[in-house]
Amino acid sequence: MPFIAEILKYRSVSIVGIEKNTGKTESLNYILSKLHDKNKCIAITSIGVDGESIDQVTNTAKPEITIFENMIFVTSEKHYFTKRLTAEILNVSANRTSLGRLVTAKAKTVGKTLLSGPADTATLQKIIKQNAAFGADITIVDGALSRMSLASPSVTDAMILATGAAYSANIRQLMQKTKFVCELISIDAVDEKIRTLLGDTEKGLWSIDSNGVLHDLNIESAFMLTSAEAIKHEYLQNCKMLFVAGVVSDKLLDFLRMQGNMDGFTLIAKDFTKIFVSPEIYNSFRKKGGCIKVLHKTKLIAVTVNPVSPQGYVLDTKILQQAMRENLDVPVYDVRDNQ
Amino acid sequence: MTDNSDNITALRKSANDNLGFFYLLNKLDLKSSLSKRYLYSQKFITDKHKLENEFDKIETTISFLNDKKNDKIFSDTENKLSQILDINGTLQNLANSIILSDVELFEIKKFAILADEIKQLLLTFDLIDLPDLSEAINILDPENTRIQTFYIYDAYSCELAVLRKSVKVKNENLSPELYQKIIEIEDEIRKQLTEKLHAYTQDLKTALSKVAYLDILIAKSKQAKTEHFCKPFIVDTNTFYQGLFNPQIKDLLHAQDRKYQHVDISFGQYPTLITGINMGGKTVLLKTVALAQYLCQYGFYIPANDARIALVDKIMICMDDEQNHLQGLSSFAAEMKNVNEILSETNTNKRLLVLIDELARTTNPAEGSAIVNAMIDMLAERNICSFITTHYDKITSTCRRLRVHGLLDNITVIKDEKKIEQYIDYSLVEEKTANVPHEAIRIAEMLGVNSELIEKAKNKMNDN
Repeated sequence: MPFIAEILKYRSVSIVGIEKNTGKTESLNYILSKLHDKNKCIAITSIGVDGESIDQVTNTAKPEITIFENMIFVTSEKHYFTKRLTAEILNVSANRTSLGRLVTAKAKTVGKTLLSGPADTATLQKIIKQNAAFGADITIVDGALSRMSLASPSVTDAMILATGAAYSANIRQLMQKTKFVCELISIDAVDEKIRTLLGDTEKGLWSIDSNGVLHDLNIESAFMLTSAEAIKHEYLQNCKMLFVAGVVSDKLLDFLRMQGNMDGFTLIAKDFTKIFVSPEIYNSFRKKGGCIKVLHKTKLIAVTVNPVSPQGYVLDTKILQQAMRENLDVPVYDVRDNQ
Repeated sequence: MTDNSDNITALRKSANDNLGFFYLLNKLDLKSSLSKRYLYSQKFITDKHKLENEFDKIETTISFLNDKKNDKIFSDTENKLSQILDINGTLQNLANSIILSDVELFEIKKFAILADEIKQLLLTFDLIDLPDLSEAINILDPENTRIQTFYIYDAYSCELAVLRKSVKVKNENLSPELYQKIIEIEDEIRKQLTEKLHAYTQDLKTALSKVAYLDILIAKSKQAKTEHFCKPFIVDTNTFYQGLFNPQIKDLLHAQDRKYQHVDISFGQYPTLITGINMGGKTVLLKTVALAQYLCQYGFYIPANDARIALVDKIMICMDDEQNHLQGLSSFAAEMKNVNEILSETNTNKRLLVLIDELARTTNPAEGSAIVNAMIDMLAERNICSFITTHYDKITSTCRRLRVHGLLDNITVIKDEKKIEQYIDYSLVEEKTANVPHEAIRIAEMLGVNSELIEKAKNKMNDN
């Protein structure tokens, strides 16, 4: 499949599901098996929270990933001990996740394991770097789109989006949702100057004035932005750029839009995974002149579709792929169809 | 107030955490995450030879650091130290013969290899004596690669090697029986490895604490070098500091582009009364004397040009601290409680260093000075090495008196009270009389305080 060659151009690629059961694991297993044939050293890890919450709340098993010989994988101690393959430990992290320390190991045989990885972006970045030092040509990240997740898959160089019938049995609806997520992924990044200015700002709301000076609005999260208080705020009144370190919600966009003229106003989100808005509200914000940018942008390589839903109905993969291709600017594949 | 505590952790929990000691500890450039735990468990040392040995070690380390041709060895050592994690929990499991997991075996192997590499690096330097861990490494390195990775190697069991090979041939279709068989063999190997390693538990523990010690030693030496600390000489009776300073306050002043004046001071087994104008640095002096004593007896170099230090068994400090207020005691009650504790300690045979800041300051001068006089008499009778600062007149008890030199003579107006140090000479002078400096009104006047108040106060003074 052509996008395998595309993947190999990057040092790190995340695979992100639009919803649970949209075939992310299948895509992942497919990509790993194909990459294995390419004679490259592949590393893989996961973003922690997603899998953990599923495991602990609904108690459904997280699907296992097939690891091939010589592949490097990073998982928590708890899952490392349940692996069904022989592997050589390369490193153990100093810090703990809720499932124990992170174990980096190299597979000596083929076999299956559960993956769980760093729960925050900084550790994820460190792991990607570490894997490269252990000789990995590329790190694949089993990503998550979740409000719960502190680690963002957008720190990877590129991304693959998995979508499927699990989200909706209505092809049109599924296509529109996927299209909207693709639109969010393709939101432009801020320029280098502003990225440097905002750096590693972890929380709060910040305004940037026309002189390029950063002001802390002393509002911890966008959820606390109540109209009366904020309008009075000297910086917000004349603010042309607002950075939200946390989640950008419908409520925030509504609030900003209602303040009036949005011409020349830019809202900066950390990355697209922090934007949880409905297409309608997003569009009316844009129509009013508002602009959204992100601090970290990642390249979307491909969309994979899974026509089978967990409830059992199956969409016609040809029609599904067709609908996606007509509306998306990126390659679309059904990983089963292509196997 | 609290006594000096057994170890650094206890000291941190006491009220004496504001002397500038923890400021220095936090600035130590420790490489391994393991070392902080060891640092905080260091004991207050009262044994002269132990301390002298430690100071010699720092001296050796500094000379080793000063020699450019050691730079490479030194940075390699630090690099290895930075990779060492605290595997105390794993070693505890090993000591208890709990069968170790692959991760724990990996931890031990990685640590042992790093410790061995450090040992080899420092072979020609007489800094630490690490136990030989090569036997322990061999157990975990059957292929003899000396690489810091681990798994249950094929080399441990022919049967395992054969089974694994068959898995590889069959590829993914690992039968439950085969899987079970492999697990069983691996478990047996872990058991054997744990049993074999058990014999080296003590060596590994010793190596872990010695590696931490090395990290701390290098960090202390680097700090002593960059901050211009001196090697203390331990003497029997009279302590003497030349150019003593408090690094925290010095850094603070320097950050504001201000000057810090070092002071000379000597003292013995008797009370010393310290007088001096307001803002004369009396409290800082007491804190710095305490700091230097703590540094010395925890095995650090001293922030001074020259230090000759008589060891003590206990440092007792009585200063106004907020903790007492939080406990709901009035300042006077809290202070008297502390004084009482000090006096009961003076009845033991312990060598003490007692530091009391402005004794009885919160009460009336008549009774206050009576308490100070009584205290001086008692400390003198018992030959206690002690300092009391005061503003009180009429301290007539016989004792040694030091006065902060005070305002420079040619000063008439203080233009910049935020840089008060440029108007004051902080050096100490021997005072023969019981007079205290009468400069409060003068300073208030210089600070530009309401002139009517100043005039009236002057008249009141003349009336007396």
